[in-house]
Amino acid sequence: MAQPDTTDTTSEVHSYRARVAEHGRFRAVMESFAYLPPFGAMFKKTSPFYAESYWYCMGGITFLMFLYLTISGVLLTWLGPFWWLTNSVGKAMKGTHYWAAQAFFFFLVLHLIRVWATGAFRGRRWLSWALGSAVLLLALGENLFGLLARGDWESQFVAMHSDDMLFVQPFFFHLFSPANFTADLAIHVAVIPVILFALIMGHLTLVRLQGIARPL
Amino acid sequence: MSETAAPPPTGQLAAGEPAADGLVTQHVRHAYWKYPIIALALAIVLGLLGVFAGSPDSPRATIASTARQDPGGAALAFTQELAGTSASTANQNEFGLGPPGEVFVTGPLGSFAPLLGGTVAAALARYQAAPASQQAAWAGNYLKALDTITPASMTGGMATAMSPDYAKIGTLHGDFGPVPTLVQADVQLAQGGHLEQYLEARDPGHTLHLATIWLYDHPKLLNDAVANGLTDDQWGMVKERGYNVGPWYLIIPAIVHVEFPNGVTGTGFVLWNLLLALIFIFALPLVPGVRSLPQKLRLHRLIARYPTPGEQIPPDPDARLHPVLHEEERA
Repeated sequence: MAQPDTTDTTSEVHSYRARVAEHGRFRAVMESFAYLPPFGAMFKKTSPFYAESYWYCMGGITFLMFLYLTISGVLLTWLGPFWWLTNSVGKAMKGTHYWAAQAFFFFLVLHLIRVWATGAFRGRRWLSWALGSAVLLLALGENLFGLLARGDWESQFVAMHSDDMLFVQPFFFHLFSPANFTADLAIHVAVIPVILFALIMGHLTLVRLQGIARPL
Repeated sequence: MSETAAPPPTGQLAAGEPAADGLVTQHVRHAYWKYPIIALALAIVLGLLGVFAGSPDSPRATIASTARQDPGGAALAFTQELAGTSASTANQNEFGLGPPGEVFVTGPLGSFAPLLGGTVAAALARYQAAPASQQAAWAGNYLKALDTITPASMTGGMATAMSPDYAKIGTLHGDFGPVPTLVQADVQLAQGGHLEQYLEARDPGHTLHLATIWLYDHPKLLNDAVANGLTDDQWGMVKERGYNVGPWYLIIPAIVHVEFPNGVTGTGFVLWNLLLALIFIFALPLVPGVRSLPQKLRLHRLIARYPTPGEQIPPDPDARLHPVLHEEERA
């Protein structure tokens, strides 16, 4: 194939045909999602060679786990505690939700190590670091309310143990009791995730605006 | 493909930004093609773990099962509700609760009085007619008497309350007033599942709220936690009952909870965690010296991708763009 000339437009350089010519049909098909609507306009098409390492995927995988937690969480909420505690499909769905939460924190920690080790928190990127930290801290709270909303023995014990240690403190204003399953479920599915989503969107917007940080 | 790979690296590297440590800053087409494969692999792993490993699920305790397995503990809890010494006394200011003696003892007994017979109704009437000091004296006396039929405390874990021997409860004598009648009738209500029904109906929209609060008044919940190694001093924050994988990511709050001075109290726990969060958000990335730690350790050498010997770096696809478009793309 002839080398494209310098008058190529963006769409021609990144066209399916050009990508097939570059790396073959398999890779061109597999990456097509990043070149087509609705994602086509969102993703940058190139990145520095040093960043073509799995370490740089950890934040993305954490977000993928957040998306899976959202989808499985909506299904679990829709079908309710009786379903997830007694039906075999419900138990499996609850199992994947549990393991996705484990994976969320696992990849989040790897992402954190990558960001810190490459000094990607410097300068204006500190704001991104602060937003990411807020996501981590809030996710730990989300995790506590997920545990309380499980509806099993652990929910009962941790509800009262955390209540008598934490939520009876005046700085929580006696607003609610973790023993109240309805409040726990509402906080877990409708309050914290909305705030988390907003923080993650802010974090992603900053990453998109500021680009990849060159390692120190 | 060989034709496009042939030209020497261009782009940022050629633009005059010398890369330290052999870091290749030239742009290449990002490997988006790996994303669907990674997502599929993760979906399969999650699916298999969800089906075969499942998730922690120890069946929840009910008031009926707890009161049947340990009626002595139930009697102790009801007496403590009346005496104002139960764990739920700490919860009474919370939204939706109230005085535990009324919520868990006199309220349900009043509600079920027609079914419990004249003796219980008379005992309830006598109790409610007495002044508060008399009520407290009766309950306090009965509490002391229950202690005489209670075995010595178990060892290991947090100090827990042991349950009185319910078989010996009829042998107690003293100035208890109507309290034993009320307590034993309430134990019956609890064992029959009626107490849980009453509590759910009393607090509609707050599912399991009052039932869970009462279960923590009964010694069994905490004793089961001690037996499963789940209390504070047993690193319970990072463990699950009957399941090997717990919330390992809570290890820092768990260390605060177990090891730090006053970390076991609510105020201490919150303040220590707040301090650590502030250090994490502000000190780690901003304080001179601390912020350059990763630079000194040169950990990025283990993270960034470097070309393997002989690896040819493909040209930056955007280098082929028209100069105007190229600027837009880089903006």
